[in-house]
Amino acid sequence: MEHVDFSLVDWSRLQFAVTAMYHWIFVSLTLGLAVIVAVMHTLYVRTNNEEWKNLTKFWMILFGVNLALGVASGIILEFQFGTNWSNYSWFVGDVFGAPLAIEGFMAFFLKAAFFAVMFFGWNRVSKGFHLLSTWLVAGSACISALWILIANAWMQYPVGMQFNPDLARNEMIDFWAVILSPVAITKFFHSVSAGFVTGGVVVVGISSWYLLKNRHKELARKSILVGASVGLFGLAVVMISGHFSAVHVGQKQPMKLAAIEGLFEGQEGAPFSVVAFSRSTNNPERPYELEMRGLKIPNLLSFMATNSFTGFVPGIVDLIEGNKERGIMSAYERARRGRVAQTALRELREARDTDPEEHARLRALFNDEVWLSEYFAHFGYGFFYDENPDVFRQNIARLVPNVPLNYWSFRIMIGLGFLFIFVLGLFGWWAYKDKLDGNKKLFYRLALICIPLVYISTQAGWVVAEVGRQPWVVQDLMPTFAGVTSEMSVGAVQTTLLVFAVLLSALFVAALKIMFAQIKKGPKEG
Amino acid sequence: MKFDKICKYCISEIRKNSIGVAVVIFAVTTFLILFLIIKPYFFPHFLETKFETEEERGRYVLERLIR
Repeated sequence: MEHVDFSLVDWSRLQFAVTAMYHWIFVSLTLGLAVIVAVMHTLYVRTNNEEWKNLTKFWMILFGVNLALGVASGIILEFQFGTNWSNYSWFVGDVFGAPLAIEGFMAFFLKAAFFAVMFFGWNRVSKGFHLLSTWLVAGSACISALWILIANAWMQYPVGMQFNPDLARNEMIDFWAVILSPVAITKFFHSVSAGFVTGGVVVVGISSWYLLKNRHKELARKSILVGASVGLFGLAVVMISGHFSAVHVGQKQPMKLAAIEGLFEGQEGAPFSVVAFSRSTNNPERPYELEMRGLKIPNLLSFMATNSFTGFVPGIVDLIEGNKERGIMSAYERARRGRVAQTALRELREARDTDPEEHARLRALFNDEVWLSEYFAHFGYGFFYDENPDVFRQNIARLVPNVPLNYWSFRIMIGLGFLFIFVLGLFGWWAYKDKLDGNKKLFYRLALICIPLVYISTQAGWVVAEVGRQPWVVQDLMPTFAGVTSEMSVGAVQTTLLVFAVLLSALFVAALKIMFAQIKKGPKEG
Repeated sequence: MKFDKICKYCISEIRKNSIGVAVVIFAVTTFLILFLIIKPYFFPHFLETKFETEEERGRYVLERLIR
């Protein structure tokens, strides 16, 4: 780790995080609006009511602006892989590249093909084909998300690949294991349904603004009915998939779960911490340790993570120092084993041009299932190994993600989720009963405030998923600092970050101007 | 011929709607900036520009993993 320029790593991470979080702002709304527009279009085709047509056209413009920004910011992310993260891009090989390529060809072209029909097909193509195009655009937005999330899930739970030690890259050997990874499936449902919630909250919020202004009252009621329904459906899926996600994180990324909960000592029947205040224990043997004091719900964390109220949930200390009773290997031992795998890779590299027999022997290790599970499975931990015990201890402490950031991000995400259940439920009920009158201005303002809150909630979800898995860029195999292009200069990353900040801010302002113009204009009446 | 008609129709529809024009100008400008300025000047593909063969790229990354 002495070779690592952490300043470069941190700037590269910041650049990626800024772009990814910016991308996620538009993606989440695009996913939700696509379905809301498709539902409104369906209602128009079924009822022949022109109001549904006007609403479909109105929300379609907002969808179009979001889609353009989502695609643009996604492209910027892909640029960064090849420039700032070349070691990572090479190491993950086609396992990561294939889902991204499929996303590009399948979903992007499907979207592009039917996008024009969706926007300009009114009275030009049959109503049925036009509606089908709208649903295909909505479906392709979800399919795009699916392939991206498959790639992301592989980083969190790498399966279906074999490491090629001669090329230092992973090669896909089981396509189905990659795409049917349980982590990918729950990630897909959780993220896409979070998009439905975003769409629902934004539609209800903007419609509430019309009600506050006493404009487009019937169109606002109709929008709220659809937006709240899609949002509530999304919330139901978010909660179910969120539970499965917690179970998977508990199994595949126990450190992330322990960090999210601020759980240091593992226990059976572990409580869920509702709120807590943390302070360092100042224990020199455990520089990562915090004392967490606050309100707890007994046994709930065990249920979330293991489906049993008495199940054992390992804490950060168990994962760092090991727990023989529970069969948990210490991070120190994992680092030693990881170093064995790295040494084998070094020797293989040296023997390649000089000693074919030794090369063949070492090459065989990388095909030996037992050796792979005992040593290569800990490959990434080898980067943290050091002969000096003090340095080794400091390095191992880096395996603990930022506990307060993950802890509070998780609670913000969940807390705001409950607020959205209340707001969407209430507005959906009032819209259904036609009770959205002038006496509910306070609630209309609350719905309006929920627009920024839904973004805070989805961004907090991103933080939990991506910061919670640190220091790994590929779980247990490649730490984030090993994935950067070490030849890049900090200045170059800072410059491109500045360029992005300017470009993304300009795009954001332009998009907001277009969207506000559309909102101010409102849907066509009659 | 049919493609021509589709393009002309899309352009006429965009022109009818000022926000539609803004969306299209916005999208086209964004992509031009991305592919003509940002990608070539700020984001060259490191391994592809520095090395010619897969073996050279693999060797480079391998050195970084085992040092």
